[in-house]
Amino acid sequence: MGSRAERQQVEVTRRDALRAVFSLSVAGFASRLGLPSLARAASTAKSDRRFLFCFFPGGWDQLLFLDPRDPDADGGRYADANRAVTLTEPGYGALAGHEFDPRVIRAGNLTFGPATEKPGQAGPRLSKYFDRIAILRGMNMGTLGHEVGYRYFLTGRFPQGNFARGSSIATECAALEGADGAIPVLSLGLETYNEGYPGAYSGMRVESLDDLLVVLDRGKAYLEKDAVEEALADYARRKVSCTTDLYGCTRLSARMREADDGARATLLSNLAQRFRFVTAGDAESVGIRKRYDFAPGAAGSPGARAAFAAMALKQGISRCVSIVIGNGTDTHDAGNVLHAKALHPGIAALAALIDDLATSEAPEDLQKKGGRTWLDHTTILAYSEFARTPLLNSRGGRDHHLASSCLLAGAGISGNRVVGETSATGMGACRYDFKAGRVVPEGGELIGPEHVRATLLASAGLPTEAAGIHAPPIRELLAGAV
Amino acid sequence: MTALEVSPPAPPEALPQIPYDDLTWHEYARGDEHSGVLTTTAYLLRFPTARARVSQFRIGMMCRPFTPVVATFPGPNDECTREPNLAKRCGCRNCHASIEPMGAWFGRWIERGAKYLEPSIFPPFDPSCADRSRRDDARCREYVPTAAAEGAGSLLGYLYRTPYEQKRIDEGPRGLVHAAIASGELERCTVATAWQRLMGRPMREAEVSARMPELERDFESHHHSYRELVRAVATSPEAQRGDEQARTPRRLGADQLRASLVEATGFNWVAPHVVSDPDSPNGRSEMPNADMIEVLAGTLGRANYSTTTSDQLDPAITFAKLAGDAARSSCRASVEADVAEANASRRRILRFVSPRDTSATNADGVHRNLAYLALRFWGLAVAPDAAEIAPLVTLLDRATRAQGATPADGWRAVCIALATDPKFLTY
Repeated sequence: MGSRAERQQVEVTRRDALRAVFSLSVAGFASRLGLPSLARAASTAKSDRRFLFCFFPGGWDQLLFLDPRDPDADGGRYADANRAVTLTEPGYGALAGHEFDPRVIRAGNLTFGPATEKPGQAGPRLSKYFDRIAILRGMNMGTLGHEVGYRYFLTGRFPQGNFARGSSIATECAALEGADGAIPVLSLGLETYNEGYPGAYSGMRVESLDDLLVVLDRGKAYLEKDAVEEALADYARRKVSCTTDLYGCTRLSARMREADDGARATLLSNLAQRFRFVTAGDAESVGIRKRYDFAPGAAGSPGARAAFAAMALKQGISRCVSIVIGNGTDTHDAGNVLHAKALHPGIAALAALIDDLATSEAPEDLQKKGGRTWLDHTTILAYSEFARTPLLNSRGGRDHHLASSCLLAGAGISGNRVVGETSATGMGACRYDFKAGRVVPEGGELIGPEHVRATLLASAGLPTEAAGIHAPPIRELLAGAV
Repeated sequence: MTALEVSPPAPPEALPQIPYDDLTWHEYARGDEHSGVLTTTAYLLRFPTARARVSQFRIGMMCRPFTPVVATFPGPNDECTREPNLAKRCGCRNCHASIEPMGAWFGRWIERGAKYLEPSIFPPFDPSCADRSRRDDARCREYVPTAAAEGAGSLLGYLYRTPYEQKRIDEGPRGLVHAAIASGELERCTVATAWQRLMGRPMREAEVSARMPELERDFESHHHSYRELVRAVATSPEAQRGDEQARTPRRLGADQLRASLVEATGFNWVAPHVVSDPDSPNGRSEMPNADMIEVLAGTLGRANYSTTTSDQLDPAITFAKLAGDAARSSCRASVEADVAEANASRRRILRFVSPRDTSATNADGVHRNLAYLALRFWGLAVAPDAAEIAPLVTLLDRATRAQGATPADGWRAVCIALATDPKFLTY
C-alpha cells in the first residue's frame, strides 16, 4: 500500500468522523460524555503512540521460540542426553524432516528457536527485524492456569481467582494518552476491561472478523425510512428525567446510552468496507491476502487477524489494537513437531505484521513528530499466558511452565536486545535488579507482566504508576534509556 | 496426539438407548465413584488436571482462590527449586501444600481425559510400568515411568501421597465435597455466589452478619437445593427493595437478550448471514436463516467455556449495535404479524389499536397501547397519561407522519425504541 493512499484513508476517516459527529448533533454528544472517539478525531492526544497486543493462546514453548538452548554449543551441554543434568530437553532433532531447520536461529544479539522460521518460508522472517525487536526472558507468570495467566498479562495485575482485576493494558494506554481514532481500543478475540476510565476507552471487542463486519455495518434490511431513523435517533438522545424515569436513570443505563451513541456514530463512519479484505476481490484486498499469506475466506487464520490489526492502525481507526494472533498451543500430549506447527503460523503472521508496519509510511502529521514508518509509531507486544516445561513429559509433550518470555518491538523499544534470563538448569526465572539493570543471583525481583505493562507505558512517555501499580518499567528495554 | 480417554458415566448396559433426535430427558444412575458436576465429562475436560480441578473447586465452591506470592519465589539456582514435590518446593509450596493433598481426591480420575481408573485394572503400584520403554503402553502411561525417579511404578495419582492422602484417593471427589460441607465453606460460598449473581454485588458487611447465617441454614435445611436458595435470596428484603443501592442492575447476556426479545415480540433475530469460508470458491458462504444471536454470541459477551468461564456484560458499543439489529429484526416480524392478525387479543404490539390507528384518529387507544407496551417490554406499570409515555407518543407521531410512512412504520419505531431502551436491556 502506498503512503499517499494511506494518508488519504486517514483523512477520509477524519472527515467521516466529523461528518458523523455533526450529523448526530454535537450538543447531544457532548452532553453525554462523548462518543467513543469519532468526536475526538480532531482532538489533541497526549501521545501519538499506537499499541499492538498480539496474544498466543495456550502457553508457548520457549525452547522453540524466544528462549532456545543450542544443543551444539557449550560442548553439547544442552544435548537431549544431558537432560538429567540440565533439566532441559530441547528435542530439536525431532523437527528434522518436518519443515523446520532443527537449529537455533541467530540474528544480531538475538536467538530464536527453530519454530520461528521455516527454511522455505515465503513471507518475511522475524529475524530480519532483529534491530527493532527486544526479547524479555525469565518472566515469572505466577500461575499455570490458562485464564489466570491470560488475564494477568491482559491487565498487568494478578487476577482474583479467575477474575481479572483492573483495566486492560490496552484501555490504560488509550486512556492515558487520550487516544483518538474511530474506535480507540479494538480487540479481536481478547477480553477487554475498563475499571475507572471513561467509557470511551472501553474496548470494542469482537469474536471474529465476520462479527466485526456485522458490528460495523447495518444492512438495508435493518434500516427504517430515513425520517423514521431520525425519529429513533432523537428518541434515543432525549434527555432522561430522573424524576419520572427512575429505572432509566441508573448509572448502567447512562453507560448503555453512551454505548448506543457510540454505535450510531461508528455506523455512520462506514468502517466495514475497510475490513472486507478477507473475501473481497479488489486488488488491494488480494494484495493484503498475499502479504499476510491467507486464502480468501480464511478469516480465522493468524494472517487475517494480523492484517486486521494493521488495517485498524494504518487507517487511523484505532490506537490500541489487541488480537489473538496465534493458534492454540496447549500441547500436553504432542511433541515438538506438532507444537512447532501450531506455533509457527502466529509467528509468521507477526513477522508479516512487523514487516507491513516497517515498510508503510506513516501519515505526514505523524512523520513530522519523528519516524517515517508506522513501526516508528507503534509498540508491539507479543505474549502468551505462560511457557511449557523444558523437559518432555511421559507422553512426549510439555506441560505448563512458569518462566516465560515475551517479545516487544517497534516504537520506544530498544531493539537487538535481550533482557532477563532463565536459569541454565531447569529454565527457572532469574531474579532481576531493576536499578542495576541486570540479572542477579540474589536479591532483586522476579519480572512479571506488571513490569511489561509499566515498560509499555513508559515507552510512550505515559505515567506508569496509574491505577495503583507501582512496578517499575524495565529501563533496558526502552529506546534511548541505556 | 493421543485419543481422548473418557469413561461412560455408568455401565453401558445401564444407559438408555436414545435416538439423536430425542430431546427428552432420561434418567440413569451413575456409579459410586461419581460426584455431581465434578466428575462430569465437561468439568474433567475443562479442568484437565487434578490441580486445575481443585483450583476451580476452591474458586467456585469455597470462594478461596489460590493466590501465589511471587515475591517469595527463590532464585532458580536455589537447591530447593529442584525439589520435585511441589508441596515441598520453596515458593510453590505456598499454594501446593494445600493443592496437592486436595488433588488426591481426584487421584483416580485420569488427567486430560474423563476416565475413571478402576482399581482392579490400575492398582496403586505396578512395577512392570516403571520401565520407560513401556511409554507406548496406554495403561502404563498412567504410571510413574523411570526407575530412577522417586515413586517409579506408582500410579500417577499416588505419587508423593501420604497414607492420609491415599485414603482420599479411595474416597474420590465426593470426599472433597464432604470436607467443604463439614467446614461450612461450601454453604457460605454458595450463598455468597448466589447473592452476587442475583443482586449484582457482594454482600455488604451488615448483610454478612444479618443475612448470611439465615441463608446458610436455609440452604442446608433444603438439602442444598440451589433452587430454594435462589428463592430465598430473591425474596429477601434487600432484593425486594428494587432500588439501585440494594440491587445493582446488569446488562442482559446473549441468551437473556434472545429470550426477552422472543417474550416481548414473539420473534427471534433470524436473518441470512454471510460468513467467511476458505473452502468456498469465493471465500464466502451464506447461512440462510441464521439464529443471529447464537452466531454472534461471543461478540455479545457469552463465555465460550474454553478460554473464558464468565460472560462479559459491559455496556459495550458492540452490544448496543447488535441489540439494535436484533430489535429491528424482531419488531419488523412482530408488527407484520400483527397487521395480518384480525384478532386483537392475539397481537403482541398492536393490542389496543388497529393497524390504521394514529394519535390523531384514536388518541385514547394509542395511549392505552403504549402503556401496555411499557409493561410488556419494561415491566413498568404506568397509566396511559403518564409522563413516561409522552416520548413514545412523540416518536410514534413523528415516525407515522414521515413521508410515505404508515402507522405500521410508527409502531415498528416504537417497538424498536422499547427494545433498545436500557430498561429493556438491563435488569
